Amino acid sequence: MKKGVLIAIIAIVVILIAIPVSTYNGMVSEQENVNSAYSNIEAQLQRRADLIPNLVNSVKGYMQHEEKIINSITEAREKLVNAHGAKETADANEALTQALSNFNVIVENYPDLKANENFIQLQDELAGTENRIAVARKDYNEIAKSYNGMIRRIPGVFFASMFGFDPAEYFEASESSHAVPGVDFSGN
Amino acid sequence: MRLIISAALLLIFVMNSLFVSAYDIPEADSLFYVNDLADILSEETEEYIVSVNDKLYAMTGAQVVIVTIQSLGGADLEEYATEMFRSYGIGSREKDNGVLILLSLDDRACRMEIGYGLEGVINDAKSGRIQDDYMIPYFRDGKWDEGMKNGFDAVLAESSNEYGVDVGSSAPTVLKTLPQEKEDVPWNKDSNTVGMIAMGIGFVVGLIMGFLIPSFWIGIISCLISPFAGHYLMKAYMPEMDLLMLYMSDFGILLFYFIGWAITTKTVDKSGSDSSYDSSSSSRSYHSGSSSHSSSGSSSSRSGGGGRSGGGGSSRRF
Repeated sequence: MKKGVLIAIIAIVVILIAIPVSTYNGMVSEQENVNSAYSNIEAQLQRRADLIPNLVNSVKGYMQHEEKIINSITEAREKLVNAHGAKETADANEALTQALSNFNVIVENYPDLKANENFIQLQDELAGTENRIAVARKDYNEIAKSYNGMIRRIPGVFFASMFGFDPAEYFEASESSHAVPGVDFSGN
Repeated sequence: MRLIISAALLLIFVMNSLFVSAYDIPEADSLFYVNDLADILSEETEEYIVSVNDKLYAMTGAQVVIVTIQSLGGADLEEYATEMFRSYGIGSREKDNGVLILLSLDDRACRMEIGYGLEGVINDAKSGRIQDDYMIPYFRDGKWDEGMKNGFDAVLAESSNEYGVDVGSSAPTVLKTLPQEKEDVPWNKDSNTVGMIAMGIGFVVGLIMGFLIPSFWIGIISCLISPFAGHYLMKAYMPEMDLLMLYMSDFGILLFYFIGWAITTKTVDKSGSDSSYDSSSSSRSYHSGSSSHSSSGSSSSRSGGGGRSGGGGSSRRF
Protein backbone atom coordinates (compact mmCIF):
# COMPACT_ATOMS: atom_id res chain seq x y z
CA MET A 1 0.00 0.00 0.00
CA LYS A 2 2.75 2.40 0.94
CA LYS A 3 4.60 1.43 -2.20
CA GLY A 4 1.57 2.34 -4.31
CA VAL A 5 1.35 5.80 -2.76
CA LEU A 6 5.03 6.35 -3.37
CA ILE A 7 4.68 5.41 -7.04
CA ALA A 8 1.70 7.71 -7.40
CA ILE A 9 3.62 10.61 -5.85
CA ILE A 10 6.59 9.98 -8.10
CA ALA A 11 4.32 9.80 -11.12
CA ILE A 12 2.67 13.10 -10.23
CA VAL A 13 6.02 14.79 -9.64
CA VAL A 14 7.31 13.49 -12.99
CA ILE A 15 4.22 14.77 -14.75
CA LEU A 16 4.46 18.11 -12.99
CA ILE A 17 8.01 18.47 -14.20
CA ALA A 18 7.46 16.99 -17.66
CA ILE A 19 4.59 19.26 -18.65
CA PRO A 20 6.36 22.58 -18.11
CA VAL A 21 9.58 21.27 -19.63
CA SER A 22 7.97 20.01 -22.81
CA THR A 23 5.77 23.09 -23.06
CA TYR A 24 8.75 25.33 -22.59
CA ASN A 25 10.78 23.48 -25.19
CA GLY A 26 7.90 23.52 -27.59
CA MET A 27 7.51 27.26 -27.18
CA VAL A 28 11.22 27.83 -27.64
CA SER A 29 11.36 25.94 -30.90
CA GLU A 30 8.21 27.62 -32.13
CA GLN A 31 9.69 30.99 -31.28
CA GLU A 32 12.81 30.04 -33.19
CA ASN A 33 10.64 29.29 -36.20
CA VAL A 34 9.02 32.70 -35.88
CA ASN A 35 12.42 34.38 -35.71
CA SER A 36 13.82 32.56 -38.70
CA ALA A 37 10.70 33.31 -40.73
CA TYR A 38 11.04 36.94 -39.81
CA SER A 39 14.68 37.09 -40.77
CA ASN A 40 13.59 35.66 -44.12
CA ILE A 41 11.40 38.70 -44.63
CA GLU A 42 14.17 40.97 -43.48
CA ALA A 43 16.63 39.48 -45.95
CA GLN A 44 14.24 40.10 -48.82
CA LEU A 45 13.45 43.61 -47.61
CA GLN A 46 17.15 44.32 -47.44
CA ARG A 47 17.53 43.11 -50.98
CA ARG A 48 14.70 45.32 -52.08
CA ALA A 49 16.30 48.30 -50.39
CA ASP A 50 19.59 47.46 -52.08
CA LEU A 51 18.00 47.39 -55.51
CA ILE A 52 16.43 50.83 -55.23
CA PRO A 53 19.65 52.87 -55.64
CA ASN A 54 20.45 50.89 -58.79
CA LEU A 55 17.01 51.62 -60.13
CA VAL A 56 17.29 55.31 -59.31
CA ASN A 57 20.68 55.55 -60.97
CA SER A 58 19.59 53.77 -64.10
CA VAL A 59 16.52 55.94 -64.63
CA LYS A 60 18.06 59.29 -63.71
CA GLY A 61 19.41 59.85 -67.18
CA TYR A 62 16.03 59.24 -68.75
CA MET A 63 13.88 61.17 -66.33
CA GLN A 64 15.41 64.53 -65.52
CA HIS A 65 12.01 66.09 -65.02
CA GLU A 66 10.62 63.50 -62.65
CA GLU A 67 12.73 64.40 -59.66
CA LYS A 68 9.74 64.44 -57.36
CA ILE A 69 8.76 60.85 -57.99
CA ILE A 70 12.34 59.63 -57.83
CA ASN A 71 12.86 61.44 -54.53
CA SER A 72 9.70 59.87 -53.13
CA ILE A 73 11.15 56.44 -53.89
CA THR A 74 14.44 57.31 -52.23
CA GLU A 75 12.64 58.65 -49.18
CA ALA A 76 10.43 55.58 -48.90
CA ARG A 77 13.53 53.44 -49.09
CA GLU A 78 15.17 55.41 -46.28
CA LYS A 79 12.14 54.86 -44.11
CA LEU A 80 12.17 51.16 -44.81
CA VAL A 81 15.84 50.85 -43.93
CA ASN A 82 15.29 52.68 -40.63
CA ALA A 83 12.05 50.95 -39.66
CA HIS A 84 11.89 48.80 -36.52
CA GLY A 85 9.42 46.10 -35.61
CA ALA A 86 7.05 44.15 -37.79
CA LYS A 87 4.28 46.72 -37.94
CA GLU A 88 6.43 49.73 -38.76
CA THR A 89 8.48 47.75 -41.28
CA ALA A 90 5.37 46.45 -42.98
CA ASP A 91 4.02 49.98 -43.28
CA ALA A 92 7.30 51.30 -44.64
CA ASN A 93 7.41 48.46 -47.12
CA GLU A 94 3.90 49.25 -48.20
CA ALA A 95 4.82 52.91 -48.67
CA LEU A 96 7.72 51.89 -50.88
CA THR A 97 5.43 49.67 -52.91
CA GLN A 98 3.12 52.63 -53.36
CA ALA A 99 5.95 54.91 -54.46
CA LEU A 100 7.17 52.31 -56.94
CA SER A 101 3.76 51.76 -58.44
CA ASN A 102 3.41 55.52 -58.96
CA PHE A 103 6.78 55.40 -60.61
CA ASN A 104 5.70 52.53 -62.86
CA VAL A 105 2.83 54.62 -64.15
CA ILE A 106 5.26 57.36 -65.14
CA VAL A 107 7.57 54.86 -66.82
CA GLU A 108 4.89 54.28 -69.43
CA ASN A 109 5.79 57.70 -70.87
CA TYR A 110 9.37 56.68 -71.49
CA PRO A 111 9.49 54.00 -74.17
CA ASP A 112 13.28 54.20 -74.43
CA LEU A 113 13.61 53.43 -70.76
CA LYS A 114 11.08 50.65 -70.95
CA ALA A 115 13.06 48.96 -73.70
CA ASN A 116 16.37 49.33 -71.88
CA GLU A 117 17.79 45.90 -71.17
CA ASN A 118 19.32 46.96 -67.87
CA PHE A 119 16.07 48.50 -66.73
CA ILE A 120 14.09 45.40 -67.64
CA GLN A 121 16.49 43.31 -65.59
CA LEU A 122 16.21 45.63 -62.62
CA GLN A 123 12.44 45.59 -62.83
CA ASP A 124 12.50 41.80 -62.94
CA GLU A 125 14.74 41.68 -59.89
CA LEU A 126 12.48 44.09 -58.07
CA ALA A 127 9.29 42.28 -59.00
CA GLY A 128 10.89 38.99 -57.99
CA THR A 129 11.97 40.44 -54.66
CA GLU A 130 8.52 41.86 -54.06
CA ASN A 131 7.03 38.47 -54.71
CA ARG A 132 9.52 36.84 -52.39
CA ILE A 133 8.57 39.34 -49.71
CA ALA A 134 4.93 38.41 -50.22
CA VAL A 135 5.73 34.71 -49.88
CA ALA A 136 7.99 35.22 -46.87
CA ARG A 137 5.34 37.41 -45.26
CA LYS A 138 2.68 34.78 -45.73
CA ASP A 139 4.95 32.08 -44.32
CA TYR A 140 5.88 34.26 -41.35
CA ASN A 141 2.29 35.16 -40.52
CA GLU A 142 1.29 31.50 -40.59
CA ILE A 143 4.09 30.55 -38.23
CA ALA A 144 3.40 33.56 -36.00
CA LYS A 145 -0.23 32.52 -35.83
CA SER A 146 0.63 29.02 -34.70
CA TYR A 147 3.10 30.40 -32.13
CA ASN A 148 0.60 32.92 -30.82
CA GLY A 149 -1.98 30.17 -30.57
CA MET A 150 0.45 28.04 -28.60
CA ILE A 151 1.19 30.67 -25.97
CA ARG A 152 -2.51 31.42 -25.54
CA ARG A 153 -3.70 27.85 -25.25
CA ILE A 154 -3.49 25.60 -22.23
CA PRO A 155 -0.90 24.65 -21.09
CA GLY A 156 1.24 27.24 -22.83
CA VAL A 157 -0.68 30.13 -21.37
CA PHE A 158 0.44 29.21 -17.83
CA PHE A 159 4.09 29.41 -18.75
CA ALA A 160 4.24 32.02 -21.48
CA SER A 161 4.18 35.03 -19.21
CA MET A 162 6.28 33.24 -16.61
CA PHE A 163 9.11 32.68 -19.10
CA GLY A 164 8.57 35.87 -21.00
CA PHE A 165 7.13 34.59 -24.25
CA ASP A 166 5.51 37.59 -25.89
CA PRO A 167 3.07 37.20 -28.72
CA ALA A 168 4.57 37.70 -32.18
CA GLU A 169 3.55 40.74 -34.15
CA TYR A 170 2.02 39.98 -37.53
CA PHE A 171 3.72 41.39 -40.58
CA GLU A 172 0.79 43.22 -41.96
CA ALA A 173 0.21 46.52 -43.62
CA SER A 174 -2.96 47.06 -45.56
CA GLU A 175 -4.36 44.32 -47.76
CA SER A 176 -3.05 45.97 -50.92
CA SER A 177 0.56 45.38 -49.98
CA HIS A 178 0.39 42.28 -52.11
CA ALA A 179 -0.55 44.26 -55.20
CA VAL A 180 2.93 43.97 -56.65
CA PRO A 181 3.45 46.63 -59.25
CA GLY A 182 3.48 44.53 -62.36
CA VAL A 183 5.91 45.15 -65.14
CA ASP A 184 4.00 45.20 -68.35
CA PHE A 185 5.94 44.51 -71.52
CA SER A 186 3.00 43.95 -73.78
CA GLY A 187 4.54 46.55 -76.02
CA ASN A 188 1.20 47.98 -77.04
CA MET B 1 -26.24 6.45 -33.67
CA ARG B 2 -27.17 8.10 -36.93
CA LEU B 3 -26.94 11.42 -35.22
CA ILE B 4 -23.41 10.69 -34.11
CA ILE B 5 -22.39 9.57 -37.61
CA SER B 6 -23.91 12.59 -39.27
CA ALA B 7 -22.31 14.86 -36.68
CA ALA B 8 -18.97 13.22 -37.36
CA LEU B 9 -19.44 13.59 -41.10
CA LEU B 10 -20.33 17.23 -40.65
CA LEU B 11 -17.25 17.73 -38.52
CA ILE B 12 -15.05 16.08 -41.14
CA PHE B 13 -16.61 18.26 -43.80
CA VAL B 14 -15.98 21.42 -41.80
CA MET B 15 -12.42 20.40 -41.03
CA ASN B 16 -11.77 19.62 -44.67
CA SER B 17 -13.00 22.96 -45.80
CA LEU B 18 -10.70 24.57 -43.26
CA PHE B 19 -7.64 22.77 -44.51
CA VAL B 20 -8.27 23.07 -48.20
CA SER B 21 -5.75 25.38 -49.85
CA ALA B 22 -6.64 28.84 -50.99
CA TYR B 23 -6.77 27.77 -54.63
CA ASP B 24 -7.72 24.63 -56.41
CA ILE B 25 -4.28 23.58 -57.48
CA PRO B 26 -4.70 20.72 -59.91
CA GLU B 27 -3.00 17.50 -58.87
CA ALA B 28 0.20 16.52 -60.61
CA ASP B 29 -0.57 13.76 -63.08
CA SER B 30 1.38 10.54 -63.40
CA LEU B 31 3.92 12.06 -65.78
CA PHE B 32 4.63 14.71 -63.14
CA TYR B 33 6.98 16.73 -65.35
CA VAL B 34 4.26 17.75 -67.76
CA ASN B 35 0.74 18.66 -66.83
CA ASP B 36 -0.89 19.91 -69.97
CA LEU B 37 -4.30 20.86 -68.69
CA ALA B 38 -4.89 23.40 -71.45
CA ASP B 39 -4.08 20.66 -73.96
CA ILE B 40 -1.72 22.66 -76.14
CA LEU B 41 1.42 20.55 -76.09
CA SER B 42 2.22 17.91 -78.65
CA GLU B 43 2.91 14.35 -77.65
CA GLU B 44 6.53 14.56 -78.81
CA THR B 45 7.14 17.61 -76.64
CA GLU B 46 5.67 15.91 -73.62
CA GLU B 47 7.74 12.79 -74.14
CA TYR B 48 10.82 14.88 -74.69
CA ILE B 49 10.27 16.87 -71.49
CA VAL B 50 9.72 13.74 -69.45
CA SER B 51 12.75 11.90 -70.80
CA VAL B 52 15.08 14.87 -70.35
CA ASN B 53 13.77 15.39 -66.84
CA ASP B 54 14.30 11.76 -65.91
CA LYS B 55 17.97 12.12 -66.76
CA LEU B 56 18.29 15.51 -65.12
CA TYR B 57 16.73 14.31 -61.87
CA ALA B 58 18.86 11.21 -61.77
CA MET B 59 22.03 13.21 -62.26
CA THR B 60 21.39 16.38 -60.29
CA GLY B 61 18.12 16.14 -58.39
CA ALA B 62 16.82 19.14 -60.32
CA GLN B 63 13.37 19.10 -61.91
CA VAL B 64 11.87 21.38 -64.53
CA VAL B 65 8.11 21.03 -64.55
CA ILE B 66 5.83 22.38 -67.26
CA VAL B 67 2.21 23.13 -66.45
CA THR B 68 -0.33 24.68 -68.74
CA ILE B 69 -3.74 25.71 -67.48
CA GLN B 70 -6.73 27.15 -69.22
CA SER B 71 -7.32 29.89 -66.69
CA LEU B 72 -6.21 31.05 -63.27
CA GLY B 73 -9.82 31.58 -62.33
CA GLY B 74 -9.09 35.00 -60.93
CA ALA B 75 -6.23 33.81 -58.75
CA ASP B 76 -3.01 35.73 -58.43
CA LEU B 77 -0.46 34.29 -60.87
CA GLU B 78 2.48 34.57 -58.49
CA GLU B 79 0.68 33.08 -55.51
CA TYR B 80 -0.77 30.31 -57.64
CA ALA B 81 2.64 29.40 -59.01
CA THR B 82 4.29 29.39 -55.59
CA GLU B 83 1.56 27.26 -54.12
CA MET B 84 1.74 24.83 -57.01
CA PHE B 85 5.52 24.65 -56.75
CA ARG B 86 5.28 23.79 -53.08
CA SER B 87 2.46 21.32 -53.31
CA TYR B 88 4.25 19.46 -56.12
CA GLY B 89 7.56 19.68 -54.30
CA ILE B 90 9.58 20.44 -57.40
CA GLY B 91 13.30 19.81 -57.14
CA SER B 92 15.14 17.94 -54.45
CA ARG B 93 14.48 18.83 -50.85
CA GLU B 94 18.05 19.56 -49.86
CA LYS B 95 18.96 21.60 -52.91
CA ASP B 96 15.57 23.12 -53.69
CA ASN B 97 16.58 23.10 -57.32
CA GLY B 98 13.27 23.00 -59.13
CA VAL B 99 11.78 25.15 -61.85
CA LEU B 100 8.12 25.54 -62.63
CA ILE B 101 7.06 27.00 -65.95
CA LEU B 102 3.40 27.84 -65.73
CA LEU B 103 1.32 29.12 -68.61
CA SER B 104 -2.24 30.27 -68.29
CA LEU B 105 -3.86 30.45 -71.67
CA ASP B 106 -6.85 32.68 -71.07
CA ASP B 107 -4.93 35.10 -68.91
CA ARG B 108 -2.13 35.20 -71.48
CA ALA B 109 0.27 35.01 -68.58
CA CYS B 110 3.36 33.01 -68.00
CA ARG B 111 5.48 32.56 -64.91
CA MET B 112 8.79 30.94 -64.33
CA GLU B 113 9.14 30.02 -60.68
CA ILE B 114 12.67 29.20 -59.63
CA GLY B 115 13.62 27.20 -56.56
CA TYR B 116 16.10 28.77 -54.21
CA GLY B 117 18.87 26.38 -55.19
CA LEU B 118 18.79 27.48 -58.82
CA GLU B 119 18.40 31.19 -58.24
CA GLY B 120 22.14 31.61 -58.57
CA VAL B 121 22.03 30.42 -62.18
CA ILE B 122 18.61 31.63 -63.18
CA ASN B 123 17.99 34.80 -61.27
CA ASP B 124 14.86 36.86 -61.71
CA ALA B 125 16.36 38.95 -64.47
CA LYS B 126 17.47 35.90 -66.39
CA SER B 127 14.16 34.12 -66.01
CA GLY B 128 12.51 37.23 -67.39
CA ARG B 129 14.93 37.31 -70.26
CA ILE B 130 14.40 33.66 -71.07
CA GLN B 131 10.72 34.39 -71.38
CA ASP B 132 11.31 37.51 -73.46
CA ASP B 133 13.84 35.94 -75.79
CA TYR B 134 12.70 32.35 -76.08
CA MET B 135 9.03 32.10 -75.28
CA ILE B 136 6.96 35.25 -75.67
CA PRO B 137 7.74 35.68 -79.39
CA TYR B 138 6.24 32.22 -80.01
CA PHE B 139 3.32 32.87 -77.71
CA ARG B 140 2.45 36.05 -79.58
CA ASP B 141 1.95 33.90 -82.66
CA GLY B 142 -0.05 31.36 -80.74
CA LYS B 143 2.71 28.77 -81.06
CA TRP B 144 2.32 27.46 -77.55
CA ASP B 145 3.99 24.14 -78.05
CA GLU B 146 7.14 25.60 -79.61
CA GLY B 147 7.29 28.38 -77.04
CA MET B 148 7.06 26.05 -74.07
CA LYS B 149 9.59 23.65 -75.52
CA ASN B 150 11.99 26.44 -76.37
CA GLY B 151 11.70 27.94 -72.90
CA PHE B 152 12.22 24.50 -71.39
CA ASP B 153 15.34 24.07 -73.51
CA ALA B 154 16.64 27.45 -72.40
CA VAL B 155 16.14 26.58 -68.73
CA LEU B 156 17.72 23.19 -69.30
CA ALA B 157 20.71 24.74 -71.00
CA GLU B 158 21.28 26.98 -67.98
CA SER B 159 20.79 24.34 -65.34
CA SER B 160 22.70 21.52 -67.00
CA ASN B 161 25.53 23.96 -67.60
CA GLU B 162 25.44 24.80 -63.89
CA TYR B 163 25.77 21.19 -62.87
CA GLY B 164 28.15 20.32 -65.66
CA VAL B 165 25.99 17.50 -67.00
CA ASP B 166 24.61 16.63 -70.39
CA VAL B 167 21.06 15.41 -70.33
CA GLY B 168 20.57 15.42 -74.06
CA SER B 169 18.37 18.49 -74.30
CA SER B 170 18.36 20.37 -77.56
CA ALA B 171 19.74 23.87 -77.87
CA PRO B 172 17.14 26.62 -77.56
CA THR B 173 16.42 28.91 -80.47
CA VAL B 174 17.07 32.56 -79.87
CA LEU B 175 14.25 34.54 -81.37
CA LYS B 176 15.09 38.06 -80.44
CA THR B 177 16.45 39.74 -83.55
CA LEU B 178 20.11 40.25 -82.88
CA PRO B 179 22.17 42.90 -84.64
CA GLN B 180 23.26 41.43 -87.94
CA GLU B 181 27.04 41.60 -87.79
CA LYS B 182 27.20 39.51 -84.64
CA GLU B 183 26.16 36.43 -86.56
CA ASP B 184 29.33 36.66 -88.63
CA VAL B 185 31.67 36.30 -85.68
CA PRO B 186 32.12 32.56 -85.31
CA TRP B 187 32.97 32.56 -81.63
CA ASN B 188 30.40 35.11 -80.68
CA LYS B 189 28.24 32.62 -78.86
CA ASP B 190 30.83 31.40 -76.46
CA SER B 191 32.58 34.12 -74.57
CA ASN B 192 34.76 31.54 -72.86
CA THR B 193 36.25 30.62 -76.20
CA VAL B 194 36.89 34.27 -76.92
CA GLY B 195 38.57 34.65 -73.58
CA MET B 196 40.74 31.61 -74.22
CA ILE B 197 41.76 32.91 -77.64
CA ALA B 198 42.54 36.32 -76.18
CA MET B 199 44.65 34.67 -73.53
CA GLY B 200 46.43 32.59 -76.12
CA ILE B 201 47.25 35.73 -78.07
CA GLY B 202 48.30 37.40 -74.84
CA PHE B 203 50.56 34.49 -74.10
CA VAL B 204 52.30 34.66 -77.46
CA VAL B 205 52.54 38.45 -77.40
CA GLY B 206 53.86 38.33 -73.88
CA LEU B 207 56.50 35.76 -74.78
CA ILE B 208 57.65 37.65 -77.85
CA MET B 209 57.77 40.93 -76.01
CA GLY B 210 59.59 39.31 -73.16
CA PHE B 211 62.24 38.02 -75.59
CA LEU B 212 62.50 41.27 -77.53
CA ILE B 213 62.61 43.72 -74.64
CA PRO B 214 64.22 42.11 -71.66
CA SER B 215 63.77 45.26 -69.61
CA PHE B 216 61.56 45.13 -66.59
CA TRP B 217 60.30 48.70 -66.70
CA ILE B 218 59.46 48.76 -70.38
CA GLY B 219 57.69 45.51 -69.77
CA ILE B 220 55.66 46.99 -66.96
CA ILE B 221 54.65 49.98 -69.05
CA SER B 222 53.65 47.88 -72.03
CA CYS B 223 51.76 45.62 -69.69
CA LEU B 224 49.81 48.57 -68.49
CA ILE B 225 49.02 49.76 -71.99
CA SER B 226 48.43 46.55 -73.90
CA PRO B 227 45.51 45.28 -71.82
CA PHE B 228 43.63 48.49 -72.37
CA ALA B 229 44.35 48.39 -76.08
CA GLY B 230 43.21 44.79 -76.21
CA HIS B 231 40.21 45.67 -74.14
CA TYR B 232 39.03 48.38 -76.49
CA LEU B 233 39.77 46.35 -79.57
CA MET B 234 37.76 43.44 -78.28
CA LYS B 235 35.00 45.65 -77.04
CA ALA B 236 34.71 47.22 -80.48
CA TYR B 237 34.48 43.89 -82.24
CA MET B 238 32.58 41.93 -79.64
CA PRO B 239 30.24 44.20 -77.72
CA GLU B 240 28.38 41.17 -76.46
CA MET B 241 31.38 39.77 -74.70
CA ASP B 242 31.21 39.35 -71.01
CA LEU B 243 32.98 42.14 -69.15
CA LEU B 244 34.45 39.67 -66.73
CA MET B 245 35.99 37.77 -69.60
CA LEU B 246 37.50 40.99 -70.92
CA TYR B 247 39.17 41.75 -67.65
CA MET B 248 40.33 38.20 -67.31
CA SER B 249 41.95 38.27 -70.74
CA ASP B 250 43.58 41.58 -69.82
CA PHE B 251 44.90 39.90 -66.78
CA GLY B 252 46.02 36.97 -68.87
CA ILE B 253 48.05 39.18 -71.17
CA LEU B 254 49.66 40.81 -68.19
CA LEU B 255 50.42 37.53 -66.52
CA PHE B 256 51.92 35.97 -69.59
CA TYR B 257 54.04 38.98 -70.24
CA PHE B 258 55.56 38.51 -66.85
CA ILE B 259 56.13 34.86 -67.51
CA GLY B 260 57.83 35.69 -70.80
CA TRP B 261 59.88 38.34 -69.08
CA ALA B 262 60.83 36.00 -66.31
CA ILE B 263 61.88 33.26 -68.75
CA THR B 264 64.14 35.53 -70.76
CA THR B 265 65.76 37.66 -68.11
CA LYS B 266 65.95 35.51 -65.05
CA THR B 267 66.00 32.23 -66.96
CA VAL B 268 63.74 30.86 -64.35
CA ASP B 269 63.07 27.31 -65.35
CA LYS B 270 59.36 27.54 -65.47
CA SER B 271 57.50 26.83 -68.64
CA GLY B 272 54.83 29.37 -69.38
CA SER B 273 52.16 26.93 -70.35
CA ASP B 274 52.53 25.26 -67.03
CA SER B 275 50.40 27.77 -65.22
CA SER B 276 47.26 25.96 -66.16
CA TYR B 277 44.50 28.41 -66.78
CA ASP B 278 41.49 27.01 -65.15
CA SER B 279 39.91 30.21 -64.05
CA SER B 280 38.58 30.92 -67.52
CA SER B 281 35.50 28.97 -66.65
CA SER B 282 34.22 32.32 -65.37
CA SER B 283 31.83 32.38 -62.49
CA ARG B 284 30.46 28.87 -62.78
CA SER B 285 32.07 26.97 -60.00
CA TYR B 286 29.32 24.76 -58.68
CA HIS B 287 29.89 21.24 -59.86
CA SER B 288 28.06 18.46 -58.20
CA GLY B 289 29.11 15.59 -60.35
CA SER B 290 28.08 12.32 -58.85
CA SER B 291 25.15 13.18 -56.71
CA SER B 292 23.63 10.77 -54.30
CA HIS B 293 20.33 10.84 -56.09
CA SER B 294 19.39 7.42 -57.17
CA SER B 295 17.09 7.46 -60.11
CA SER B 296 13.52 6.63 -59.49
CA GLY B 297 13.83 4.59 -62.64
CA SER B 298 10.45 3.23 -63.40
CA SER B 299 8.28 5.47 -65.46
CA SER B 300 5.19 5.53 -63.33
CA SER B 301 6.69 6.65 -60.04
CA ARG B 302 7.75 10.18 -60.83
CA SER B 303 7.15 12.71 -58.16
CA GLY B 304 8.57 15.84 -56.63
CA GLY B 305 11.64 15.73 -54.52
CA GLY B 306 10.21 18.10 -51.93
CA GLY B 307 11.60 21.39 -53.19
CA ARG B 308 10.13 24.56 -51.75
CA SER B 309 10.05 27.80 -53.58
CA GLY B 310 10.54 31.10 -51.87
CA GLY B 311 8.73 32.91 -54.65
CA GLY B 312 11.67 33.58 -56.93
CA GLY B 313 11.30 33.97 -60.65
CA SER B 314 9.46 36.36 -62.88
CA SER B 315 6.16 36.69 -64.69
CA ARG B 316 5.12 37.95 -68.07
CA ARG B 317 1.83 39.09 -69.48
CA PHE B 318 1.83 39.12 -73.23
